Amino acid sequence: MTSSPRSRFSATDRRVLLLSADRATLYLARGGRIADALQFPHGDEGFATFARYLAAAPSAPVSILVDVVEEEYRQDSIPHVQGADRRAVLSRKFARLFRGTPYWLALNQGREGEGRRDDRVLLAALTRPEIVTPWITELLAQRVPVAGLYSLPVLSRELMRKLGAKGQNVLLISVQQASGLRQTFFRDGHLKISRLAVMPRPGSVPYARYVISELDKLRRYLNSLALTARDAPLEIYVLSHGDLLAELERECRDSDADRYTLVDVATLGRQLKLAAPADTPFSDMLFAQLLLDSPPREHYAQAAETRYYRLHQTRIALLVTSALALIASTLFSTFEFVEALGLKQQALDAAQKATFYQERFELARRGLPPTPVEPADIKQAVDVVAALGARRATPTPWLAILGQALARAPDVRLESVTWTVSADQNAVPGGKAPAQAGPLARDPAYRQYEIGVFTGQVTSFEGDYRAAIETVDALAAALKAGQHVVHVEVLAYPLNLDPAASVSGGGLATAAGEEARFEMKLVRGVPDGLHEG
Amino acid sequence: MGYTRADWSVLRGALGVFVICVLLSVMMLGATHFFGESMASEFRNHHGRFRDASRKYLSVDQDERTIAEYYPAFIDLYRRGIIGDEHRLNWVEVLGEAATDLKLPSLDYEIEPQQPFVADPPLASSAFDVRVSRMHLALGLMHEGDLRRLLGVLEQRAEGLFSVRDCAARRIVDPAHPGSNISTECVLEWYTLELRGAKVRL
Repeated sequence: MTSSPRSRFSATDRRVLLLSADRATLYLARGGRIADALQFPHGDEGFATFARYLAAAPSAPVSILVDVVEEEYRQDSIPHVQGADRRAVLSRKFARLFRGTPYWLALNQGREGEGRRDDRVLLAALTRPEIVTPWITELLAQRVPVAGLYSLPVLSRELMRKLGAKGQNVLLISVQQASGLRQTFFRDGHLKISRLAVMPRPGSVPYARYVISELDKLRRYLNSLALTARDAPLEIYVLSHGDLLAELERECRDSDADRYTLVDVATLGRQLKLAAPADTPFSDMLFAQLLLDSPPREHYAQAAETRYYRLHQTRIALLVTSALALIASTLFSTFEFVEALGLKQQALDAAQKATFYQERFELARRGLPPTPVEPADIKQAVDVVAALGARRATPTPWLAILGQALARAPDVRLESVTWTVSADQNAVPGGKAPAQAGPLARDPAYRQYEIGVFTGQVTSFEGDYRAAIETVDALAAALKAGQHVVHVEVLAYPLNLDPAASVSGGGLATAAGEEARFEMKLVRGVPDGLHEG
Repeated sequence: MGYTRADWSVLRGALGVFVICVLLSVMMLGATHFFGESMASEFRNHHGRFRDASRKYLSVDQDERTIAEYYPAFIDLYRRGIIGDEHRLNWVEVLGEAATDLKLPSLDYEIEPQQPFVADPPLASSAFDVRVSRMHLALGLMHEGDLRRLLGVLEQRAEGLFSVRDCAARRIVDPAHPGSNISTECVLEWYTLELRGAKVRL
């Protein structure tokens, strides 16, 4: 699985660089699964080879995983603050606790139950940054996107979840070819402490006994710090394979305080869908794959070190957006184009049918007599003239009504007449102001009104105003009996009867030239469709 | 942590692809939209033509019936000066004849220029404009019946359609016109239909 760096420069999609104190192992993934690995020794020669490799290889993103002794952990608590305040508090803590390293992180582990309910945090830091900086420098020099600088113990949380370890006290033991024996302790699912010990070359010492002796050391340490829950056993998960796993099965015995779960690396490798079988007691590849699948949110890398990764993500986003825009516009345009072609076909059909009907119409039209206007307009013109004819007005009907009434009033002599026709029965002939106070409502039974005002005098007047007024009233009554007469009104009597008016005259006999004049209005309605005269 | 010009060069290719893709997308969408609109417009035009032609074809029978029923009346109205040009000369001639026949003591007339008629209520006049010429008549009458007879003569002999708008009459003694007992002034409106924007010619 591990190849020489000089022989295998090939295209990969993602990469994991596992750093230990003495080497760097670069795991190459294809289709998201670890498929190959390259090793580079720690030192100038290794850095140079690494630089040449990076210059030649495609610029795929790299996630760096650190598994070194020089990683320290501190349990602490900080005020429950967020954002910039939290970063400021943590910066002060780290400056005090881990001087001289930029690589630190804080894992949030719940809140205190009492007091200010401060946040419980696990502070972790790489105390020797020079272990990782040469590698990161080479990566940045080649503008390789660095996704993050991750801690293997922090990543172990994900492995614990994969194993289904949910006990109060969980100890995870794994052996990495690059770094050695790693023991990581979790209390209630939270990482509390991790220890890396040198692992002797397989076969040089009894493997199981060595592991158990290292386990005893850690157990004593845990007890001294009182980190374990007393009412629960320590659940110990050991990752191994083959003979070493069989050896562990013989040596590891469950007790009230310890419960062992031995995990075959090959089985876990299949669970993680590694590209090749993991027939090895070492867990390096498992962690590398786990980092690709579930990278922790917390990592050590500085913003400047991950800038190319952000640019890489932006680049991917731009390319994906470009592709989506192109695909979407192509699909939409295709749909529009097909729809337009359908419309084109329909337009051609309509044009054909229009020509067909036009020709048929021309043929049929030849059989009709020529007319100066369209037939429909001929009918319209005749109808309009008929409508105008129906609206025609003459004063003859109105005069006939007046004449009939005057024939029955021989004492009345007609002096003058003004007449008009209007749709408004309040209209006044000659344009004078209306005499009546309130307008008369339009009667829907009549299309228009013939309105006339006439003046006259009582010829047999001898000073008897009462008789003259009675004569005028009799004339008004006779007019009201006329057909379609809608309104008759005496506008002026021989004597002004209005209390507001002044009246003068002689009281004994009729003065020469004294006349009994009056004025009257007669309105005749013209029913719709009716025209007389 | 700031980005350098060299850092941004990582994005140069992707930005180029993005700009090209967006331009291509916009061009494709614009072109297909223009093509679609053009086709839709063409379809609307041809479909309108088809609808018009089919309607006219299907209405030929109706046209035939309309012509048979209304065209004689239309021709009659044209000859009577109600459709087409007004027959103003005829009106004047008939007025003169009527004055002579009825022995009217006096008759003066004035005809205003023709103008569009605004009907109340409005008329649906379709392709025609309704025009009106107002005629002012000043008459000396011997008695009231002269007015009725004059209007009757105009209605029977004059070529046109008229309606009396206003009349005013008063009893007088006029030495200038012996026998003139009633002075009368009337306004007559003569209506004419003319094809909108053209002239009817038979």
